[in-house]
Amino acid sequence: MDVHRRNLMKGLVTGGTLLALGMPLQALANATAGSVRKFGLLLGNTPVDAAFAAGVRTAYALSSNARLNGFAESEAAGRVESIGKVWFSPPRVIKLKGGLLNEYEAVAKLLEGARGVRWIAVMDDGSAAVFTELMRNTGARLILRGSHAFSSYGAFDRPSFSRDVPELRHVWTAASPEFSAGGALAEKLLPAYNSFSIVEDFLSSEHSSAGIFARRVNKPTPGFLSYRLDGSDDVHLHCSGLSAADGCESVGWNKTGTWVPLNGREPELDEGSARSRPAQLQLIGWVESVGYATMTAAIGLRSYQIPCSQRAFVNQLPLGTKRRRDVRPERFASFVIET
Amino acid sequence: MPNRYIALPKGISEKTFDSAIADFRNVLGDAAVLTSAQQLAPYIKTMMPVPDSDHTPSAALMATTVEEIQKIVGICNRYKVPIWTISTGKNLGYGSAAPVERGQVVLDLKRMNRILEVDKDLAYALVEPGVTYKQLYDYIAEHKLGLWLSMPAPSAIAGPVGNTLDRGVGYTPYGEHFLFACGMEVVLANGEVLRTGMGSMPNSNTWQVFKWGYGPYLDGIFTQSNYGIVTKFGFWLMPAPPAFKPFVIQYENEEDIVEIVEIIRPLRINGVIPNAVVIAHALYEAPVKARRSDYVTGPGSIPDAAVRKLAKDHHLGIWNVYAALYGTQEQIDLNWKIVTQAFSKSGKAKILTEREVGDDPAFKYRASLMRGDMTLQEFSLYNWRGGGGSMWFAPVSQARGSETLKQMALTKEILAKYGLDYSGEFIVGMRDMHHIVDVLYDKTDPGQVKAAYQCFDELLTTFSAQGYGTYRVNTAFMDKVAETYGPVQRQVHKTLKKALDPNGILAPGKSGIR
Repeated sequence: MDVHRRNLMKGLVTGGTLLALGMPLQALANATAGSVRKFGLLLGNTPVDAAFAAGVRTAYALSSNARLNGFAESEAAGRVESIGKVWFSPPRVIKLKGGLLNEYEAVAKLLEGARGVRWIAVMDDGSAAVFTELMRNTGARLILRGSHAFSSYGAFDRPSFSRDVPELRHVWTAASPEFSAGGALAEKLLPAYNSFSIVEDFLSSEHSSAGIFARRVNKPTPGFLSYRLDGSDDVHLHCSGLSAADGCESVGWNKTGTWVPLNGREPELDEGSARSRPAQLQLIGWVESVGYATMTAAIGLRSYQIPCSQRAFVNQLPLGTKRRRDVRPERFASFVIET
Repeated sequence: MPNRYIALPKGISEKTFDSAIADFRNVLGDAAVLTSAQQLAPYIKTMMPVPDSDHTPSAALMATTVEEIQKIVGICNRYKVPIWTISTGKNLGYGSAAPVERGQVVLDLKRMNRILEVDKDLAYALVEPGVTYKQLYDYIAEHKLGLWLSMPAPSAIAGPVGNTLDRGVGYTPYGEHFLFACGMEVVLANGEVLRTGMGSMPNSNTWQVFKWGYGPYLDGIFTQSNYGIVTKFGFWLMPAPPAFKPFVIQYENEEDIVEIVEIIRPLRINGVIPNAVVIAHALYEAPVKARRSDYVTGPGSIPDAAVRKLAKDHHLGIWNVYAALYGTQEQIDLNWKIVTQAFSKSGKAKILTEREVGDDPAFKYRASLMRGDMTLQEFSLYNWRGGGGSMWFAPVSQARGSETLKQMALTKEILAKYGLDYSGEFIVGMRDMHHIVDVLYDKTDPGQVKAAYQCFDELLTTFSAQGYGTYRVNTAFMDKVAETYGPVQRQVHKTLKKALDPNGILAPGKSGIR
């Protein structure tokens, strides 16, 4: 096991850029970091470690800037007390050189020994099964657990399975919408990937501070049409390139009922805002985007403020509509936990 | 969805549950009663092809004493709140720590982790349910007791109580774990404490050495059941042998399993090979060495040609027979001669020992398991397909070559129909074999989830129709398997349940018993 302390304060960006990303300063300042002042990044010795960590670094840099800029702006306006003053140091990086299956004892000791730390972790599926057990043994709290897969053969020509399963798939279980990662990931993937799905299950449908920043934070996700299941207000679906019924089927939801616009009016497709993002902030790969989204969830940057038990994003464009990226098959698991 | 809880027990109002939780807190303290989503999330993850929400607990309780458990069952009876008891909760692939039904309260006994006694001379242990194999392993090493454990593949993180109560197996000569269980303490649903066998007699010192006691033998009804909460558990340990010789015998064709089993059976029954031999298919061993995507990227199950190439590339047989000899060097030398002679006759077997393959990762972890050492390498299986889906399909077979080939072919055929791979092994008992198949699938792919569910259902249906019973199953299919054993057995189980737990508070649904 290797422990690295790195300065993750790279690529600082301006408050204006943050707003362009849909991250209001005040929301950031009040983000869920709350009482947690330490973060850790656990890398499980997988091929995706570096890309995932890069995404985590980007999200950390954004949040640090937000706090920095937000604090300064508020101080100038005489509103210091209204801005969160909780700072946290760059994540302590721990790399499991031999993988968790070989270093499970060290990981168990790490979880037992480090209290009050929010860990972001990435590992293979075998390690993830053990990690979940170690976590429960030590009484750690599970905030977010993700399973991520890209299968190159993906969506088509599958004799026994469903035809329209996206090739890039993410399934997250989060403690509550407060720790949603789906919106952040959907925004990152939409410009670059033809076929993806993101499913989020929230164990508790309520956000602890739901409604406070709802209008500012939960703008419609650019490029998606948003629906809720009629009669079941806490099931939400965001589709791009396919109907709600097809989107529902492609994520394997067996929902009976009609999908209606989420906000009570006909959804409008806002593709323009997805394209207008500053080029330098586009992440280059899907794994990096997952790291980014996971860290935003760990910090609480992109909380979903609407009561929700399940939501999904689905993008499915016909082959040939966009150039297909060169992506290698990969599967891994991600975590946000608190010791 | 309720406001204060992420789930509620079936038929229990939030108000009633509030009262039960308040009473639990009075007994255990606030910190030992978990109700928040973040605290309960680690109890929910299952690997089954059904929504985790079907198995979401309403709360988790951390008891540390028998007296606390007695009070807990009293509260459960008062409010009709069902509990799902786990020791360490490592039943991976069979449901993990999650309850069989949504809303059940998990009673987590991990903090009851005292090693009460380990007797070096009589070679037994008496432990509480939260004791892990690793804890016991360290205790034995620290006290230089010269005893070996037998443990399942999740060795270090699992514990002997839960594994034995679910009738799990290990890989040493003590591999059929329940065979070596001796004496239990059980909290019954009415709060009474039963000690089985000789334990019922005051001042007895034979609780952990004589199983049977007097009258009907009761220990069995507390395994794979929901008739009581086991709070102490005795079992026998193997004296460390003076010498140990692990080996692997490789065969190149699937049909060779007939020869393998016909050779092994007499060696097992006669005690020449004393341990629970494993006959592992190449795809069961491959994940510690290879990635599936290096051999196949298209849809469907992996083709035989790819399996052959993989086996060749990574020095695996299509079948890999892992066994070991134990005893004095003289015993081992003699038995080794018998083993090599038996397997050399046809010329098909490739016999390898530590000298040739000691550094091979598959051999290393198998050898560790056969000597009762800690290893978690078998979890590499979950990387084979990826995506976190796994169900153990576990039919029992006669230790007869023709039967094993038939079961293997039938399993493979059904798996292939759903695009899934045959990752199987046979664990050889004295006269039976546990046919263990890890049905691996990608839980992120709803198509595979659906296929895996249908596939598992068809495996159970087809096998039971041919008279092949499943010895253990995950919580999503417990009712179905219980059904395959016929109405009379099911009714007897229910009658016992009604007599011992009239309010149905102990894990209703476990093994299909309510």
